[in-house]
Amino acid sequence: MITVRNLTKVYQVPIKGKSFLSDIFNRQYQENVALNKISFEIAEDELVGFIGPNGAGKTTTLKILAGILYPTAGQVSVVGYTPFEKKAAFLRQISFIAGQRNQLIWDLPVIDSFYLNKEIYQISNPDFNKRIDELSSLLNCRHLLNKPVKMLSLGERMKMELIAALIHQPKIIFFDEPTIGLDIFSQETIRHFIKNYQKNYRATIVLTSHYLEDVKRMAKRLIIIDKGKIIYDGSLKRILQEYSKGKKVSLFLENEAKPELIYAIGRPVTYEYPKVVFFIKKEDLPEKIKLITKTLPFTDLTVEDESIERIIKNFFKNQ
Amino acid sequence: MLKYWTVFKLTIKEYFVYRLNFLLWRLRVFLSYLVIFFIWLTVFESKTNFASYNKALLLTYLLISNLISSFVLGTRTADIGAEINSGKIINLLLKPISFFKYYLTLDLADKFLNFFCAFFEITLLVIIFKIPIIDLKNPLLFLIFFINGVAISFFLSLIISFLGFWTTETWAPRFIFTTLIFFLSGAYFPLDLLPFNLYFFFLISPFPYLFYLPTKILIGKIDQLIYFQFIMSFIWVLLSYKISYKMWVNGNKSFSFFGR
Repeated sequence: MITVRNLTKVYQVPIKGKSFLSDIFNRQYQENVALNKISFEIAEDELVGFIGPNGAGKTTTLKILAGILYPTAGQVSVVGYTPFEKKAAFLRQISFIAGQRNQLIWDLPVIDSFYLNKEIYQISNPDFNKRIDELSSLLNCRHLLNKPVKMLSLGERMKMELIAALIHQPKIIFFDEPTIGLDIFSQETIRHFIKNYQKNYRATIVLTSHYLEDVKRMAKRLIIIDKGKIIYDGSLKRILQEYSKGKKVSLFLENEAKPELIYAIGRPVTYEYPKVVFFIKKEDLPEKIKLITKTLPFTDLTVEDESIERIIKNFFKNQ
Repeated sequence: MLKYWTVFKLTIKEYFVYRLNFLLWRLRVFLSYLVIFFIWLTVFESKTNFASYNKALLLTYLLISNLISSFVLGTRTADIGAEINSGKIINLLLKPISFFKYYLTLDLADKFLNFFCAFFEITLLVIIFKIPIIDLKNPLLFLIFFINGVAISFFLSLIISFLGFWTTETWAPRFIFTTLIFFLSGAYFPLDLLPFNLYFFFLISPFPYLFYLPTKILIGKIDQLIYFQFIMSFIWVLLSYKISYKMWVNGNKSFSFFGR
């Protein structure tokens, strides 16, 4: 479905010259390697998370895959097409959704933007009505269809952006930070929707996000990119297991315990009566849980995985 | 074809969202028509002819050239420079729609609206000032020059906007372009009132082909340079198209849309 071989992208960044005249007549450029010979393949029906620090090359990769950017070197094939050629048959099969970009017509009711996409993608009337119906009920936003875009909240607008971008039922969807700036409820709705959409329509999805929770909830496969190179390409589960050093154990104490009893378990991450939180190494976990149940009076005990942010930090530390 | 019709309808609909803005904009245009007419009506108070133009001919020239310019110069392509720099243009690049045809449709919506309003306003002027109008001539030749004028205006405006691929400073070139249009396109007076050498020099530029020559042909003032003008109008259509297309292709390849 997507094949990338030795993909390289070098940006020419202008350097500020000594004078205004040299800036105009003798502009100097610095080469900034955004992608350095990366290769990967994505099969049909896969949902892949693309993560990495700022400037690592995530969005550049997505933009090349969608045909927005012209690669400096390497081969890219998406559904059998060279993306930059922007053939209509290719564009009809893809969608690029960026949390920070707005494709809806700002001053008009949302439905007008949908009508425009209906004509651009040549969708028949029954299909259009059916898809609007389905997508708007999945996102619970039927009541917003006749509201002008400028009157929508950010979360509402994102839902509408999703409908506008998916109305032609693309086979490949590129999501660039789809939950950026949204509150936790909207983030959850969008994640749930993307996951369901992928399942129902067997779409291939490539997703970048700074919220690692997005990736954890949705992707099975993870590609980590740093300084223009792929440093991990494999299952999310494997990286979570390999780089998770321990578990977060939280207790609600029945009554205040002596500090020596608490420190016998380990140095707490936080302790504010009645809640105490420990971070316990994987290998020590059975023994420490036994000790807790024996020595500390508690009303509630929870064991949670280490946060994905911390695991990825561990991964980067090990590089 | 239906997609461009939808683009056309929605563009018109967008204009009527801010009705007060629209009315004030038209009022500004109407006032600018009044200024030009007051100047020329004053000139003709003391004389019956001005160079080779009598009162009816010159006033008809002004009316028709303003009407034609409302169509030829109406454009939405001026927004493209900012859309390149903000990255908003990406939305269009990702859709199976021709960029040039899409913007031509936006322009046509703008042009029809401009023309419709200008027609109404100019008719009002004719009635108020009892302006004598001469008979219009050469409709076929006019149509050729008029279509070429619309095409030249569209491609030149695209060229200015496509500078946005290489610089964020597209405002200054556009300002100069607009100023040149008003000086060199015959918006205030017919260009053949100028000394011949200067007039000929202007004819080498694309500006007289926008609405000066279509107007002149329509009012029946075809001069001895018509063959030269006919060829030049096609040369400018071709040249402006080639340059804008080349800029579009190269700009797309070289632009980074960095951080957008």
